[in-house]
Amino acid sequence: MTALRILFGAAFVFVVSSAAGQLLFRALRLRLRPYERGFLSFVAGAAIFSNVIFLLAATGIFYTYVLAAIGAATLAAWWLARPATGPPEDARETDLSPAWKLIFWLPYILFGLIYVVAAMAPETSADGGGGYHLGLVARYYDHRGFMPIRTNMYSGLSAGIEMLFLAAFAFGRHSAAALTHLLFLLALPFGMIACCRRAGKPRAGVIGGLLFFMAPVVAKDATCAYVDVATAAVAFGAFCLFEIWREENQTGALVALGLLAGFCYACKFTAGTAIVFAMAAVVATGFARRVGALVVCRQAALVGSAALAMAMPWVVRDIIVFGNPFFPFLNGLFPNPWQYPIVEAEFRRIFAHMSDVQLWQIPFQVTTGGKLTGIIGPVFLLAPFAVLSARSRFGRRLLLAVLAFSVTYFANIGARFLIPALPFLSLALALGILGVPRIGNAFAIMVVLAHGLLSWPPFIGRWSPDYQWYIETIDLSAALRIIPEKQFLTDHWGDYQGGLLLDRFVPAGDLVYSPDMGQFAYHHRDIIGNFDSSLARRAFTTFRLPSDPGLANTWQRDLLIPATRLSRLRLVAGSKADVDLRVSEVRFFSGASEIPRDAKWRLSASANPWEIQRAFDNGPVSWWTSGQYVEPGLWLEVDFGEPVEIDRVRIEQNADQRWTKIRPAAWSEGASWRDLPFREEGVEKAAPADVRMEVRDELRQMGIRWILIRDGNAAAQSLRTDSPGWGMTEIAETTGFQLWRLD
Amino acid sequence: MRGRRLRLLAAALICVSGCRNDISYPPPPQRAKITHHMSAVIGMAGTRPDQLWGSIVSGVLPAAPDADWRWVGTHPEFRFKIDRSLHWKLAVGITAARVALAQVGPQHATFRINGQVAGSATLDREGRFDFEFPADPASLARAYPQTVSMDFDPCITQAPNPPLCVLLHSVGFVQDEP
Repeated sequence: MTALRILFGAAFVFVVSSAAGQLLFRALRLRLRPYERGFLSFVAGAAIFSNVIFLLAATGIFYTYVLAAIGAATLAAWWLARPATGPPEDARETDLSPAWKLIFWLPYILFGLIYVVAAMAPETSADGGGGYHLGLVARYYDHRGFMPIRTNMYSGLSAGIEMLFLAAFAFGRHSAAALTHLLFLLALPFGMIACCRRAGKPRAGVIGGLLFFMAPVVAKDATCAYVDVATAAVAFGAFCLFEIWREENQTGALVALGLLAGFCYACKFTAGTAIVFAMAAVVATGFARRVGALVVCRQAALVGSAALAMAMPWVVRDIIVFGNPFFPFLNGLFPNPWQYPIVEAEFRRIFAHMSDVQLWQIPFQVTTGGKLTGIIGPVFLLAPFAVLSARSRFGRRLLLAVLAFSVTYFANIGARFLIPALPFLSLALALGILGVPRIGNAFAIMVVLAHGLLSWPPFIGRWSPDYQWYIETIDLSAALRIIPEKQFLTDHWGDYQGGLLLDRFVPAGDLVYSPDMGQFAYHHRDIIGNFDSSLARRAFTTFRLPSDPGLANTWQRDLLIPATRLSRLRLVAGSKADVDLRVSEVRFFSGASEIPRDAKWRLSASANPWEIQRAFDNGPVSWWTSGQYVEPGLWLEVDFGEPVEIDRVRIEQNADQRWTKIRPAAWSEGASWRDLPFREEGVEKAAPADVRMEVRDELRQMGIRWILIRDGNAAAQSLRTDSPGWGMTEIAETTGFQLWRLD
Repeated sequence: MRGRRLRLLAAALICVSGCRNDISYPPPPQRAKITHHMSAVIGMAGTRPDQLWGSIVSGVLPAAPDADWRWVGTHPEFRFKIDRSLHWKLAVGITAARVALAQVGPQHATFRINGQVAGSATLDREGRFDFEFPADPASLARAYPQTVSMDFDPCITQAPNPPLCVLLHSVGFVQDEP
């Protein structure tokens, strides 16, 4: 029964999307060739359906019966509007010979069956079933729509595909979402073949389609509730529509192209480049045709408007929830209280050099080595052959599309981030190989054969390095739920039971800090990790304070200035540093006595002003952080409200901040800020013997009531051996995890 | 016209979201220094009564489901590892059970740390009793880990089953003022 629900969930999304796509094309009066209709209807309809679900979620009426009614209405509309007969085949198109059809269908069916079984198995992937993709979907489902989750930066990502997951989830839960993602992979080779048939190169479609379809990282990604393969399909759909418009000049194709380009942004922020490239391609084509600037502008505007219609819902949502239209990115440009720019910068630094892989090592690692979390397969080492495709115009456009969709790759060099560009590369490679004189066809078939053998899931583990990301488990019993889902998850995923502890012991509404819990989709509690938000980052830093003298000890910095009457004073960073600026306390002195803090004072900062009070709260383990790397000119300011005489400023910081430079500046009335002459004295003060209770209090002050920690975590041992010193009580444990209550 | 306004509004929203606000705050309420008191108390709930710093040695019956107490016998014993340089109080939470009082009458309880009597009480009514007895540093220093034992008399005896005396909720040490 569960298996049927899973299949129904995915089938529902497929059927409704396809129907919506056909309705869209009819509304746009877009004439497609029969072989294009299936793929393009599905991806374009998915875009429309995704936006409908966005509306349901945004208005809080995501109920299964509403969804079912919308599905039924879509199908009814499609039935009423269906054409009596299909348009005639284009005489120029070339069909495939039976041999080539066999070359395509045999591996497609073999791999496809394995993929379906893998996708139907209980979802345990890191980001998908375990993490945020379905974690958020599950919460939206419970809540009947969106709710602001500001403690989790992933909730700010555009989630066009997750909206489809949400529809599938309503019927078949987690695996239905994974199967929905797989639909895009199952559909994409047909889109690739269709596009190549239009270009008169159907064999390239077969070869390229299979190269993409069988790539191990593509297969793994598509069988999880990730979004990369779906993004690739949508991007390819946009490319197909561009080809149709370029060839037939149908205005409807331009609108559909814009919709899909915009949906690329909705699928994945980094694929938002599609909007720019789609408009650029339309403009370039228009100028090449010499149709006049006005027409070109109108066509580009049409594409841009349609794209914005798809992308804007996510932009507006992020503005409303996070105050940053592109959250969780560009936090430096759009500062907000919910994520520090330094976390974003650190992520960028880590992902740009994942596993210490250098630029020149990427081709090997991404195809064979596997240090970049998955491989696309050794045959892609033949990628230079793709250059040969440039002999045809179609090939050149494919190569440009490769560039367009890989332009953001170097921000995160993980293998799966190549997936949106991979269909284009696969086709260009196929064109290049097939173009080799005399042996082209044989060479291409050999390449596909080798790719199939090397990528056959049960075989990958025999030749590839350890710790690959590929389909490891092909378990029909699990897929059909002959083995119960809970049993499978317990046996195969250490984090599963750990996460379930939360539902059993943590009251709803209590916030849990968990430095290393990967299970977010099968429990219902509010949980933060180490970097998910400003709050999470603060919790992470605070929690490790007792074991890190750089944080626990205090660097007391006295800035001695000539006695001065001033009404506003700034402390200005004087040098660049690869850390954030942190200030625990700022105190002002006149002579020997401290100037008491007064309600008239106004505290502000050039960065992260929302937490500035933490530098003036007298808290033993609280601090203000700039939330960004120290830059010269970064400041925090006190407006005293009236002139006060000051001759000493005492700044208390974490000891690891001693190398930062800070200078005082005073406001000259009606003029500007002027630096004050000063002499600095500093001393490192050891932390109190035990600050663990203070840390506990600080975590409670952040709203955290529980800690879920993995056994191997360094702090877990400390908690276990001396929980009275922490002021925490262990409430429960399961395989690998301990749950602690902050008393 | 309306569409144009909407577009302008959207553009303005994006621009405004990128603006740095002049945000300022007054000093917050000052946090007072808090003196924390450590608590090394093990609860008898079914989840995790045994800790590395404190555990049951003997005389305690298994937990009932969803109960935060366990029956104890005539001489339950516990072991603790607590810092002898600090001042502690022995803290015990027990309930005198109606069934026990009805059968055997008022019960006498004696509490010991490393064999030295820390306190005693008479349980002459049904209900919860929370005792705190100063822990003599000399008693704490006699052995490490420290042994806490209790004696209850009289108790329900139902041979061959172990005797049932009182319901124990928690036992351990809480830090005392120096």
